[in-house]
Amino acid sequence: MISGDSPQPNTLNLGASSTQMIIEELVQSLAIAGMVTCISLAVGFFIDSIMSGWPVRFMSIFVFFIALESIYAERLLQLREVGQRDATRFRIVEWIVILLALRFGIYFSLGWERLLTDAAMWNKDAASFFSPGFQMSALFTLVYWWLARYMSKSIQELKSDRAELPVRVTDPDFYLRSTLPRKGRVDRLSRIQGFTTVFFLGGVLMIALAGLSQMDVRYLEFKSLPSPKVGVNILVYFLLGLLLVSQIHYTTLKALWTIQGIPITSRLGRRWVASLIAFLVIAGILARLMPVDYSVGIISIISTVVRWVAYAVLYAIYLIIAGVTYLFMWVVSFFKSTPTQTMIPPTPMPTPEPPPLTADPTQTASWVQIAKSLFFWVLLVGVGGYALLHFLNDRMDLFRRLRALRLFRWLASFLSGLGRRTADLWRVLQRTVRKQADALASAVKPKPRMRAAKWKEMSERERLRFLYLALLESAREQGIARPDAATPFEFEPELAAALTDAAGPAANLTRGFVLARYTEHPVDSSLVEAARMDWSAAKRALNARKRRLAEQRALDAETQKR
Amino acid sequence: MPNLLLFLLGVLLFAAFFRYDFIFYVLYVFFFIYIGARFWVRAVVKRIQIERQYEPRALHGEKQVVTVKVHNRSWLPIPYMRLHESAPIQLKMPNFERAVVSLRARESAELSYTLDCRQRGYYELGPLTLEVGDLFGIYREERQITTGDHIAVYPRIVPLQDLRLPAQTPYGTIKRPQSLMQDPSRMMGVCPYQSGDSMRHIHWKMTASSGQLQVKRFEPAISIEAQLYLNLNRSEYTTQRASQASELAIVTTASFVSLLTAQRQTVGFTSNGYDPLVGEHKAVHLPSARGEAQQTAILDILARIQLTEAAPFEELLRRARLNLRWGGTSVVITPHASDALVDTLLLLKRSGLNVVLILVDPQSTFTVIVRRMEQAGIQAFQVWQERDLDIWR
Repeated sequence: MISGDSPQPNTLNLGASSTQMIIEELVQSLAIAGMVTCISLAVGFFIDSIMSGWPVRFMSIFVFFIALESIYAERLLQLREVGQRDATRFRIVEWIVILLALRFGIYFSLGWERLLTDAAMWNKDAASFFSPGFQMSALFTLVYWWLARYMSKSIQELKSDRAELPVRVTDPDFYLRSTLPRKGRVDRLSRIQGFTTVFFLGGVLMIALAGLSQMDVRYLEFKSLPSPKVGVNILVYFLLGLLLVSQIHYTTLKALWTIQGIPITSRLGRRWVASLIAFLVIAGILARLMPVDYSVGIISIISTVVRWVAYAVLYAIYLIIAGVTYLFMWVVSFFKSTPTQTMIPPTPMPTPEPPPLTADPTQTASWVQIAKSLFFWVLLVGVGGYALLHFLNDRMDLFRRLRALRLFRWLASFLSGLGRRTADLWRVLQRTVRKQADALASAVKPKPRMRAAKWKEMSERERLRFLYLALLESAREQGIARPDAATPFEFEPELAAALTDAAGPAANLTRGFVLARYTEHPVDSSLVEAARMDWSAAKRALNARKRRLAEQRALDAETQKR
Repeated sequence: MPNLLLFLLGVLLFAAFFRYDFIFYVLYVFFFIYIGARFWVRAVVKRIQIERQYEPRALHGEKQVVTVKVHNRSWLPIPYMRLHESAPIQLKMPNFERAVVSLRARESAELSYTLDCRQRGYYELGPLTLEVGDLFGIYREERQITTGDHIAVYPRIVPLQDLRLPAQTPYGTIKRPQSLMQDPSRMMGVCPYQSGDSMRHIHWKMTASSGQLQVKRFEPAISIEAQLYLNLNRSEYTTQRASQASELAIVTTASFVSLLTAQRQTVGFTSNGYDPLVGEHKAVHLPSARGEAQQTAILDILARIQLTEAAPFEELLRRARLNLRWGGTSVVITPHASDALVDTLLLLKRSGLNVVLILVDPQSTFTVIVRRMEQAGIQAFQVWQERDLDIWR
């Protein structure tokens, strides 16, 4: 039993809480992803200094997510304990999605127009989809992916395995576990060595690349003083690396203590983090206070010697790189339809001419082009869709967990609330606009009421009213409009005067309308039938009047001509 | 952190070549981490103090809690410290207690464990091994702290009621027929005054009430020392029973001491066994005294004492008898009665001492020995197993 001086004695806690574990995992994954991103930044700056146009920003963001994906995928596979076949399928699906994300994601930085242009090029030549720049990016992505996976796996293997824990003889699994081949054989030292080697090598590589990116390699001279942001990613890399190294040390010790059954105070984890932060801060402050500019003779001599040696090594490296590049280009030329195309990243590629809208008779027949394009896109969409589907399906747990997070729940409720509010607002807006439009329309012209209604759907009363209103509409079209203030009976003499042949039917329709509109007198079908015959007679009279007027106008016009 | 120095060298070369500030910062940070880790660990390890809190004596069968208090006297915190406290395997299974603690500056922590005192002995507690390391696995240091703390587990004490020794054997302040001495604290009654009675013993109240001089009558008593002689010469025990018989002898001795102390008798102890505090080939002798302190002193020795290749027991007896006054009782606890021992016992008897012989590993027929001892006026008992002590219960 162990206890401290504080009022509350220390309690033994061999297993960390699930929240603490999640935080540990999350911080660890983010730190690894951050380190890999820092390396990718250094490499990106270096490549950019040689071949301008390398998408440094996009690649860095992409690598960050790829590193997270690599770590998550590795843990998912370990958790599920799938067979070789499923693991292979999982990896294939993962990599198809990564490659597609890389291929299309780059257009976030290049722009939509560039995507359309390139898509047109892919129609012409499907092989251009796998451009040298894309291949190079994919290769780097693969390296970063592996790096993140390796580091994460190393840390995971440091943790104590259940099989390593001492087992009681009374345990039903005693025989099984005591005869397990891996029992007690986790070589933690080699894991730590592997991780620190990667960490140090990565750091040295970053320093070297950062230094070289500031040099003019032709003259082996420094272009200018390095900008302050050059070293930021390196400092962040080392900071994250030190945090991880410390965490690895803690994990290893904790695993060993757990295996040995040694009780650990629950405060250890918190105090470890606090001590680590304090230690790093002090070391950082002390480092900041140290001189970085020197003029001591011995250092200068060393510097000169190192510089000369470095020049020689640099020349050798460039010769090797040139040789390898030439060889690579020579090999690539076999797979390319245009042998003159050089291996450059996708950004600096010249914008190709858009394809002609009409098929060139000198070229291949248009249906072949269409078929090729169709095949390409079907293949791309099919493979990509299939991979994406399985990719998402494999990570369904992650989405479920994300959905369970408070932040995501809040975000989801916020978004759904926002959606509801927007929909309500839209409906209100629609109603308002409609009302305004109706008001405007009614102000501009009288709206024929019940015109749109179907005759069969109308009641007898409505039919009676409709026939009168239809007559008024027809009359209005011929210039016999009823004044707004006039009642049907006041308008009847005017209508009867216009329809000399159908004055009786017009009067009947007027009475029928007044009957249907202003009284509760029952309206039966016989009334409607009579009104319909009156309406037909009135309509015929109106048509005759229209023809008559037309003839009159034509006659007048002819007379005027003469 | 393996390969750190190699890495520092590489960074130094790059720093010298490129002359960029940030490379120097990286170099300095790693350098300070490397140096700081060593300094930190060494500084705190030196200033760790421990203290054990426990009862230094334990009765057989008791459970004793030992608390190890670890103080961090340094102004630096200790990120982790692995404690490994060794304990006697006879008292604890497994024979260690471990813990991992983290201490702030000037903080202390406690590690407690329980000892099951089921075997007599004098045991060392600890040493406490502590391991302190840095946060990056660069440096760690182990330190073993030995404080010389011991715990004495007393032998089993069988509760005895009556020693059932012959009446003429004067054990301390007890009644004896010959009224050589009287104990004024034990008034037996009154009787009429006779010429020669001490005037100091007149019972004035009774004299007044009866009208005749009455004197107090006291129980006859004499204070005589009892000395226990324990033979732990390994060569005198049989190989098969050496361990069991010697333990039995010690249990018998402890039980006698306990009873005699309870009866407020004077008791002393002499043995030729090995006491770690006294040293090799030196006899242990404790002059007669009475009281709890004497009992504790004897039991302390009995907790520590062990079988050893010692000088013949007879010589010790001859020398020790000189320390005992006339009429004293010598209780000799030995594996068996050799001729030489019998001769020595006769010498003791002739010197005016009362002798009781207790054999725990007799190598000849006990009845023969008893007969021989009776002829010399010496009582002999055989204790073959602990149950044989029941004759005194």
